[in-house]
Amino acid sequence: MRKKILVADDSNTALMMERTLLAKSAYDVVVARDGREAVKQALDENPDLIILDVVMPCMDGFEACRELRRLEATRAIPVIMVTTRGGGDDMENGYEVGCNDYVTKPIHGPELLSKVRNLIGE
Amino acid sequence: MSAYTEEYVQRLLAENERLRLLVDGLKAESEAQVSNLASLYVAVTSVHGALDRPSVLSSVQEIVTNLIGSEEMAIFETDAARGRMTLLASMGIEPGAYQEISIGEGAIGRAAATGERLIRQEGGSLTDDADAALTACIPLTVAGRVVGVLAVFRLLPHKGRLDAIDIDLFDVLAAHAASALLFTRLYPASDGIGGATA
Repeated sequence: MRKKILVADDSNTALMMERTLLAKSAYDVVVARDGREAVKQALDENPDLIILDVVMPCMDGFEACRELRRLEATRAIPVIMVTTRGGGDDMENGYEVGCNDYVTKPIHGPELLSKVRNLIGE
Repeated sequence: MSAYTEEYVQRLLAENERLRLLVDGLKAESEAQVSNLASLYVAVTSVHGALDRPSVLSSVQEIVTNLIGSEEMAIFETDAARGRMTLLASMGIEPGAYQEISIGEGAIGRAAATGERLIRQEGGSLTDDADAALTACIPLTVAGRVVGVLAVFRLLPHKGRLDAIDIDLFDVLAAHAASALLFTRLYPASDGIGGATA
C-alpha cells in the first residue's frame, strides 16, 4: 500500500516541488496551506509522515508540530520540518517541539527523499 | 565436496557488492536528475501560472527562495526610452537604494545594457557594498530584448555556492519570467483569456 505524506507550506512553488518529488517516488500526497490546516488534515487523513514548513500564516510550523504532538491521534506521526535556516534557533526549536528531522531550503530532492525513507521506508 | 570453493564464493560476494554499489550510484544519480528536472518544471509552471503582475513577481521570489536559495533579491523592469530601470519588487534588501537604476550603471544596469548574465560563483559575500553583495544579475529577455533584470544578493547562509541546476534555473527565469511579466502588461489591454482563445 502506498504511504501517505501530508505537506504543509504556504508557498505554491515549494508545495509543487515537494509534491512532484514525493509523487514520483510513489507516495500519496495531501497538502495544507498553513499550520492550522495541517493539524486538521493530519486528523482527517492520518498520514504516515508530515512535512511542515516553519514559516506559515495562521499557525507556524513550530506551533503546528507542538499541537500534533499534543493530540493523541497525531502524536506518533513522524514530522520533518522545512526551514530556510541551516542551523541555530530553527533547528533547536524544531527538535524542542518534537520534530523528527529537518531539511533546509532550497529544497534538495535526494536529501528530502532520503530523510523521508529513513522515517517511513519506501 | 561442494562445487563452490571458498575462493569462488568470495569472488561472487565481491562482484555482488560491486554491482550493489553501482546500482546505488545509478539510483542516486537518477534521483538527482529527477530532482533537477522537477525544479525546472516547477519553475516554468509557477511563473506561467498567473495572469497578474504581483502573482508573477511572487512566483519569481518563491522560486529564488525555495529552489535556488536566497531571500535577498530585486526584480526590475527596463524602460529603454528613458534609459532607466524601475524596481518592481524586492525582498530582504533595503529597497530605497534601488528604486531607479540607469541602464549601464553598476552590475545590475550592466546586465540590462548587455543582456549578459553576471554570476558570482562563490556567492555569499557579507560586504556592505551593494554590488559586492550581489550573487547574480539575470537579464530577463523576450526575443532578445531585455525587459527586466533579476538581481539576487546573498545566498542563504548554509548555501555555499551556486550549482549547475541554479544556473539552469536562472536560464529558465531569464526567458519565462520575462514573457510572463510582459504578458501581465499586455493582458489587461486584451480581451482576456476568453477573447484570446475564442
